[in-house]
Amino acid sequence: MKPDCSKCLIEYQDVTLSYGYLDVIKSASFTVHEGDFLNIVGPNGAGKTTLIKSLIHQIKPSSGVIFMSDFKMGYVPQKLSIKRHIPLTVLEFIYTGCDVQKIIIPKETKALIIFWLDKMKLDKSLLHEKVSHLSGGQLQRIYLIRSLISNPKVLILDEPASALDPSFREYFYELIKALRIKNQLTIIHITHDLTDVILENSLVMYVDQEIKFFGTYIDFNKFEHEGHHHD
Amino acid sequence: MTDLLLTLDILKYGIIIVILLGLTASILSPFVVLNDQSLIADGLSHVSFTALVVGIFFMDNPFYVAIPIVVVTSILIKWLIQFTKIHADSAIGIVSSFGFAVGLILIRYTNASIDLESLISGNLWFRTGSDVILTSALFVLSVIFVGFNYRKLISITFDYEHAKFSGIKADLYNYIFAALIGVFVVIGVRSIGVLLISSLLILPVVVSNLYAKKFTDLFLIGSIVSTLIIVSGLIIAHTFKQPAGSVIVILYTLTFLLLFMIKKFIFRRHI
Repeated sequence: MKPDCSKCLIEYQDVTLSYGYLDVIKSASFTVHEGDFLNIVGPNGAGKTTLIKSLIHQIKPSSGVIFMSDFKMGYVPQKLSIKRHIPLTVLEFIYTGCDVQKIIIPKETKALIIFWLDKMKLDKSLLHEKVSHLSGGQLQRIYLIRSLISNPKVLILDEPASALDPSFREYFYELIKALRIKNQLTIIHITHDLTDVILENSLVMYVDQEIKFFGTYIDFNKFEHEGHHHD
Repeated sequence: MTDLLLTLDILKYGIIIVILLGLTASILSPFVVLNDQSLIADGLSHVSFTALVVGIFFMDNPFYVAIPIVVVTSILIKWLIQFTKIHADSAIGIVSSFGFAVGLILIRYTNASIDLESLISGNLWFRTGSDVILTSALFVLSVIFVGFNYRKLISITFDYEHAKFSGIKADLYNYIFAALIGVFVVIGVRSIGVLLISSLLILPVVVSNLYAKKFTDLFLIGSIVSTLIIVSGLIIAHTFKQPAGSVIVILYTLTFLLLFMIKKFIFRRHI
């Protein structure tokens, strides 16, 4: 079902997400609008990733309704579980993120992938390297490329920078910020470190089994100072 | 010379069938073995045993009964893995033991004409033209299925969650794939036997993965090595009057060991 308002992309109404009898997220209600940069924060085991999984239809709500309009999503999972024994090259891997996939990869697509490798500061020679030979940071970047290559409208990032070194991390968030403006990208971003992101015009959701806070970054600072950790 | 031609003429169906089976295995195996389901063929071969016993019970050509039974079982294994969340090897183990158990009981009720040994070790030389047509049909179907869905199958094999996320009907493809494997196993069991068919599916990808630099290499190296081994295996088996299936499997395993050693000690690559 689609949300009511025209600018709304995602609307959660009283959504509860459970594994078996365990409610991981209780009655969550929120709305994501086009162009939002939503940061989801919260302690370990607070249900952040579970919330994301409901967004990408991996789990269904046990109660409540999720409204979503029709849009393309890009997604970088938290766990980059790769099968090391499969001889897949970086090119073949990134190509699995493309909209149209042919047996023989077209030249233009190859050029586009090289363009992205360059943008992510990865050497072009990695194109024919096996995915299993990459380092953690390289792997995380090619996952990012795979999620971006088809020009999604909504980008979902689950701790995307965890394996990136600090200087590249900063560069990466600048890149995301530029993409957000250029492509009117909506971003949903799980993080442990809000200092990473350029936080003007961004939203923060604090989750701990339920949504404890949802609002702008400035309001979130006030909320934090009120000492929500100690309640 | 005429002697050789005469032998070739008698053996031609068997030769064509086993080469086609090798090629089909090379096409299908990357998606099975690399998806941690190497033993599916072994499991299904036990079920094929039962299915063929049941088939012989009803008619002369047991394929018509056996193929649907094994295809359904193969799909059932996928379903078990998916819905009961038990591990793939456990699901395969359960289904194959169950299949074999039923077969052993049923075989007591059939008349004594069933040649148990030929069921277990297969018989390549008794194959007919209709067996060739069936094997060719399977080969063509496999090529078409993998060819048209190549990228999707890679996606499913490498990253199932992402495949589903990107809108691929991963489960449907898995079921179709299971059906193809089912047909492959039944035909294979008739030709090279219950105990050997599994290696025909596993070895091409294991061997080719030693040297594959990209996914497509798996098919290329797999088909070439398979065909070479099968042809030389048949010649050796015929010359020394040994069972063809056994010779092929032994040759294949030795080839794997040899290529592994070459990679490790001559190219000095990390494994």
